[in-house]
Amino acid sequence: MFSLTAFRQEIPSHTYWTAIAAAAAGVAVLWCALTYGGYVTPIFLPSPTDVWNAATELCLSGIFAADFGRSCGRVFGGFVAAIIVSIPIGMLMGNFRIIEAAIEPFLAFVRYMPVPAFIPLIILYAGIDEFSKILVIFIGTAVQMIIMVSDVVKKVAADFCKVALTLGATPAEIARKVVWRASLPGIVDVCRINLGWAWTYLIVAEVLAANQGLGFRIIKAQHLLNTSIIFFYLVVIGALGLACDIAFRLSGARLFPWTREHLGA
Amino acid sequence: MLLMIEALTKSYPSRDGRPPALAEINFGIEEGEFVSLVGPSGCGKSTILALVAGLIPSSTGRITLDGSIVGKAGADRGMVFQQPNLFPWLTVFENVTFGLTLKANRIPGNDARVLKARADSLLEAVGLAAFRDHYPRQLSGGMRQRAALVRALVTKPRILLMDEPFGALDAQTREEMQELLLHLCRRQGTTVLFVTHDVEEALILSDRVLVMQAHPGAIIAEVPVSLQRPRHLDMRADPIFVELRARMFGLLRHRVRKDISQMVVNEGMAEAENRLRQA
Repeated sequence: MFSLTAFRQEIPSHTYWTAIAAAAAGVAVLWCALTYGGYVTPIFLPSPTDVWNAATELCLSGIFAADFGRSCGRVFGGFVAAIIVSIPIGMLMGNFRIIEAAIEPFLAFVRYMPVPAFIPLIILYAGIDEFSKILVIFIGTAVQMIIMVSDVVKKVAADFCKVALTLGATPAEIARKVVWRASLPGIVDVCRINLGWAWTYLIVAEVLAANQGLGFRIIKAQHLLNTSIIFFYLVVIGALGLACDIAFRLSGARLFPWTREHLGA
Repeated sequence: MLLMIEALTKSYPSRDGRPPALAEINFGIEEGEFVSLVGPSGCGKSTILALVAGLIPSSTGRITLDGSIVGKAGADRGMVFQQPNLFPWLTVFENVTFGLTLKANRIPGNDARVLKARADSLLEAVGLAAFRDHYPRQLSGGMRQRAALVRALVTKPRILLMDEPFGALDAQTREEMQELLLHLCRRQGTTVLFVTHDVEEALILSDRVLVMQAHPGAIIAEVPVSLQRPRHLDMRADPIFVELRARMFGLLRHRVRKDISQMVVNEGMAEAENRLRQA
């Protein structure tokens, strides 16, 4: 027999999932009670019906599809660029102390600057077209990713490299066949975490004179006090982030079966 | 002599003028011979192995294998560490054939297919044939270490260096591994330089045991083991074995006592220097 409140103990997985469902249902019930019961004004908290109506209207008019497409394109562009830049630099930093010395302090300095503070400069340098939005997402994620990738690379066990050395491997072979292979799951995880931040910076980026996009629509809805739209778009962004996260985790487990908790003997 | 070590020393830069890690080391190993280095921790036995393997540079002296000076690490000196260090992302077979994927081992006369077949026959010999396509984490500690042994042997090293390879295993697995190693070495005629702090392990496996002391690391005695071959673990009851063991313990105990008295002297000196400085 298990106890539900046992301190730091496993609970059966069906109990775990039941708790998740119960918490979600609780939030839904509270939402319905507050709105349909008339306890709060719709401007602060729209009812599920209001949000549903706003959603169908935006979907039917094609506004949602256009916003969604634009935002995905921007996140994808900025994020892919960040991956392409950060993985090689992170690898170099993790493998060569001299490159780490040249880059790390500068990045450690930049990483504490809030991305929104760069916006005036970005407008000045890159204008207000699509490129500037991608640039915001790129700067926000690339700086973090370089540092995180280099950390993953540095943590590869020195003993693995020693083994490869005694088998006759050259430094290039060790980098490719040992360090890279050992780092890959960690690097995929870094990507997963940073994709979440990329969506956050998207909203920041779309404050920049955009005329389409999920973040833009939220800000516009705020001006019109149309909270239903804000709620719908927030739910979309949350669901999208969650979907990406799950996709990354599943593909990680599939690509790197050796990292799975239980392999069976 | 297959391996020759002459006037080898190793010291690490330090402020307090500590004794060198290795004073002057001289010894050789014949082809097919099994030699062990035994001594207390800190005597530099693992350092000798790392120097022969080419993982660290020596301070002075020279190491020759087949008459030519050994340089950086290479597959001619196979190494087994205390931890198996198998690559978790490769299967057992991929791990043991990892060396074959390296440029250094793709030399004329090294037919990859022949060597892969050799890998399979070695896996068979150590009882891992059924686990060929398993990942390391699916194996027990002893099985992993057997795979590490095969990995070091696949590329046909001239000498096998083993750094306390069974030190992390439980007593029963350890004995199994000793039996296995005796069997493999007889079959393959492998030359081995073996490091351990276990006197019995050294005696049962070796043709010769080199006893070391610490501070500074040096070889203080050479003990030939006249037990006949083939060896098996029951020989630990043999009168020759019992006598050798007593002699080895005597050598090590004597050294430890001397080390402690030396330490007292050293600390007394430091104390005296401190007082002088204060005065």
